[in-house]
Amino acid sequence: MPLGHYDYRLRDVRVDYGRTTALALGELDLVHGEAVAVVGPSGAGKTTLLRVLGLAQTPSTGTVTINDRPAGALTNPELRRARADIGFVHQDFRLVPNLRVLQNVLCGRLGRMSLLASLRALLAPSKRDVGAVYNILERVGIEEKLYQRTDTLSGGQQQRAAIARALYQQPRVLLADEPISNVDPARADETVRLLVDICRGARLTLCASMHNIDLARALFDRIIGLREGRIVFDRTADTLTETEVAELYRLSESADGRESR
Amino acid sequence: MKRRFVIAAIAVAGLVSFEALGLRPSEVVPTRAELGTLSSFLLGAFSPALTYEAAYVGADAPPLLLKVADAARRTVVFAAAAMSLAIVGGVVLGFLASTAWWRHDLRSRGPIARIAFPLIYVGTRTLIALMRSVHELLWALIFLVAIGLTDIGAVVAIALPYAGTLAKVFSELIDEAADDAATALGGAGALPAQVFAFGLVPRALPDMGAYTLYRFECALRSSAVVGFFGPETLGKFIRLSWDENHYAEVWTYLYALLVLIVIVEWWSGALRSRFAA
Repeated sequence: MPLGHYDYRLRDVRVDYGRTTALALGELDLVHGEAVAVVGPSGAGKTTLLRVLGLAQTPSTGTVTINDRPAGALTNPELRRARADIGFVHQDFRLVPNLRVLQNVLCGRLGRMSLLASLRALLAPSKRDVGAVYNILERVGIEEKLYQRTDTLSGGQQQRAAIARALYQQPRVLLADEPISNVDPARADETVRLLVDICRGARLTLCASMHNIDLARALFDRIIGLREGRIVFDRTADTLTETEVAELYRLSESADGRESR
Repeated sequence: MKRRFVIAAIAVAGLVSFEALGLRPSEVVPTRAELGTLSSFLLGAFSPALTYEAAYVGADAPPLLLKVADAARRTVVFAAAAMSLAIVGGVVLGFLASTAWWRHDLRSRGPIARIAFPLIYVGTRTLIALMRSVHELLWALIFLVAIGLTDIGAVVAIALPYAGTLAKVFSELIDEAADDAATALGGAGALPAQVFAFGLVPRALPDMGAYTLYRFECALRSSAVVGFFGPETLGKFIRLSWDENHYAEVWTYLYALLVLIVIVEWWSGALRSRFAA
């Protein structure tokens, strides 16, 4: 039974990998149904933030609260249900290359099935399930690839297959890690618009990391700028000023310079 | 410097073992009588028998080539029976012996699981090692002594070490499979068994299939050789013809075995290229 809605409250969340600090946030709240873009240079902590929201990364310190329940106190079945409600589109797709697109997309709903039911659903898919997968592939524009082996698809098509898997999951929250990094610029606009439209239509929370600030401002409600694991700005799209964006870039340039030295 | 030392050590070890065993190079040189047998055997390779070499053959004996074909068929059937047992055993034991199967977070488990899981894992690996360490011919001898080598005994004798070998290789292939899709499925709420079945096993499956076909080829040879102990595979007739000094017949049986192995080799090659496409 899905919780229906997910309100996140993050307090003093900090993630350390060994000696390096990947993320050090103060306060961050996400209200259910928001469309949030996370922008910032490479290594700013965007992926780590998404992993924390996806309950795939436990913070080193600080608390993540979902609907007033601390995430750390969830029991195993509760954690499984929450993860089944959170879709994640990985930057590197993470599909099984030698399965058909159909089977990869069907895998999206594993979190809501018993082992026996999932064996049946994947080895002998029902007409209804195949139809549902076809409809989702149609939305992302690769319905003709339904029965193709996944590794015969181009990078952009695999990205769409990964999005389809996350949508077939029937999530309440959709997290997308650089969903347009493997798509050509013309397709990028279309792909992000698709994600935003689907999430608005189904009242899902969308949180996507990206480099394209213009696209983020045009399509998202709220934009969070990250640099070196810290929030530089957290604004509605219409109040974000050019100076703030320039600041993020200026700072990031100097940060990149330090890294490469 | 180090490499030179290693090569010298290997050479010394070789000389010492020759000395310890009392091996004389002169023993390799055949006597005149042995030379005669050897040359008539080798000459048989150029003229394998198409009919019986014996002057008198029973009236109800089938034509030689039909007999060879039937022995070859029985060899394939023995190998297939042994492999079908070995695959079941190999898959079950291989899954249990893979570290990926046990990649649960034990801290979140009950006290029984925390003790039982490592025990099952170590127990399975020990069992696999025991099955593998006894050669199929030794298993065949054990069954011969225990129950007389019945057909089922011969099949099990081959299946036991083969199941162990398949299990070892299957577990390694699964543990080496890329786990990116597996972590993604786990992150979306899939159970550990589902992550294993849909994230890891499909990735290892092409290699598992190719290796199983290779083992089938080995099983053909083993089932032929087990015939020396009684079952009516190619090995039995090779021995009978050999005892009668009918070397041309021996070669006919050997060529039949060669044909079987070439067919399996060609078949597995075709399957592999289909998997890779």
